[in-house]
Amino acid sequence: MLTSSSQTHTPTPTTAPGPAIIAQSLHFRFGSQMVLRDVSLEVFPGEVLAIVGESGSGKSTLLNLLYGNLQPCQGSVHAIGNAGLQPLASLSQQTLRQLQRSRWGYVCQNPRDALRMAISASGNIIERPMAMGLRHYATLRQEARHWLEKVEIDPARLDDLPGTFSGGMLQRLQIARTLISQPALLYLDEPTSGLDVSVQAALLDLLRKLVSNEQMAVLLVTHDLAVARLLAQRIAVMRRGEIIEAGLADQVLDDPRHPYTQLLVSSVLPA
Amino acid sequence: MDYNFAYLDEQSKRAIRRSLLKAVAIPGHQIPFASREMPLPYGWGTGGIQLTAAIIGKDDVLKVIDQGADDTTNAVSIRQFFARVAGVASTTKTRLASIIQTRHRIPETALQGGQIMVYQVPMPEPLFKLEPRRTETRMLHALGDYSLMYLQLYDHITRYGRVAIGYDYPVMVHDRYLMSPSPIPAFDVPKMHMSPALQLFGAGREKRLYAVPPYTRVVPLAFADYPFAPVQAQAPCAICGSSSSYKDEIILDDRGTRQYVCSDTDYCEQHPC
Ligand SMILES: Nc1ncnc2c1ncn2[C@@H]1O[C@H](COP(=O)(O)OP(=O)(O)OP(=O)(O)O)[C@@H](O)[C@H]1O
Ligand SMILES: [Mg+2]
Ligand SMILES: [Zn+2]
Repeated sequence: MLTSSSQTHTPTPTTAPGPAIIAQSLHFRFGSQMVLRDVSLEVFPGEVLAIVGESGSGKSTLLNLLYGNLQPCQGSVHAIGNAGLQPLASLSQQTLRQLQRSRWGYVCQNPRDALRMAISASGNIIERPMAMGLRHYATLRQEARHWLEKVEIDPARLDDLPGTFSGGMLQRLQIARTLISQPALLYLDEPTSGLDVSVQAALLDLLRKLVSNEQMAVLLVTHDLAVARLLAQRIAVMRRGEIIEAGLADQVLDDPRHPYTQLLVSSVLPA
Repeated sequence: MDYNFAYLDEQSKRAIRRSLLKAVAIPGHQIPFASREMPLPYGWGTGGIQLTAAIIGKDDVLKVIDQGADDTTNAVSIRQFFARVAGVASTTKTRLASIIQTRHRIPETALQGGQIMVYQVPMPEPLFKLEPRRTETRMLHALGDYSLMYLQLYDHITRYGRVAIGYDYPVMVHDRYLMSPSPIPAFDVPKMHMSPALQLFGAGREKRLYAVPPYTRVVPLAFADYPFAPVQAQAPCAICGSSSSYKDEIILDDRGTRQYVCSDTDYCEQHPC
């Protein structure tokens, strides 16, 4: 269920079929500029919600609020933690960081912003389990190899520095490094933008495989409706900081209600 | 020219002692302090000198070592400095000293309760080379997030088959803070663990000090299957025959003939052949 109204939801307790994240009536401003207005959404385990909209509509800002890196000036975010859904506002910075690197994962558009460029590819992959206390070198290496394989990078590149990787490989590395801890909640911000079309297609294919295998709740931000169609079950359309239309992916893309969505669909999705 | 006892004025000494008390209360945690200009250049251990000046009393017996030796220029000038400004007795014997100021070594002779080690520290931040931003390292310490350092060790093992850190080996203090033990050889690090002596660390240029109280856990970072294993000396001491001490390598001729002798000169003199 997804609405842009300020109707309130009661956070459901820990166990399975409840949502992995609930945002209620979020408002946010940068200085005097209102960037988000009354945004509400939910994502369930095993579900991909795409947040689409033009540049500057507030997609990345929303994702940062949902991840806990920014705080709303109004409204609340409940996200899956160690003890079920927890209001982000109540978490200490330490708990938040701990959740971010154990139960959640964030893949950003530019992998160089997330990767440690001075550390080997395998070191980058195993950082999370190591930070969580795994201190057995041989096991860490085995894990690194396994995940390199999963993201379809040549195992011979295991100990190369990321600087020697292509853009597509860097993004695969970031994905491996993020998914290794099997996050319950995955945030993807334009994961395939900035890549060649053919590289993009292969990466999308991989993401689809990885995401459908897990009981992950995925928030996917993209300005590319084709990406949304390929990966998401549901789509929320943002414009000027508001969700103007939301629903099942096919429904939104094939039968858009809002004139803005109609414009978006007709201009970006060739028949 | 007239100096106050131990050069620094009483107010400065009191301020440093207050920071030292904080440091002792939070083992391994770096505390800022108002580092003063000293009549010696920074590389000469002004941090250590200020700490010693703040804690030394008339009855103290001071030992100063540099690279294990009592007779290097650096050690001699610091000892002379305190003889002049505090008139305290000095010694080269580890077991007779109440305060031992050091650069690069911990004496081989086991330390005792009541003794104070003062380490000269050039760079107090163990994460400095991996994360140069001070605000960020402060955050990592607050969160106890030391994965950066572990990643460094991981890459060392991958590249060299072992952790190739010979000096300034990163340690966890009291299971909480990552700490630089100062540029002592990794070989000396185990001497810090559960030591009966109070260990104080001063960095003059960086204006930081920190401490390890007596009987505190000091554990070098390692992996379960790659335990901490500092490089051992390859041969017994050519002078005293000790096979357990840390050695300096001396090249005897231009054909590369080598000899190993204790770096701790006091220990070497007392160690029976
Ligand atoms: N740090 C900031 N300080 C001030 N304004 C900001 C900041 N970050 C974003 N904004 C503004 O907030 C609005 C939303 O930006 P946001 O980055 O969330 O959009 P977006 O939908 O992700 O765009 P894009 O598709 O270009 O990534 C924009 O008007 C932007 O200029
Ligand atoms: Mg964006
Ligand atoms: Zn000897």
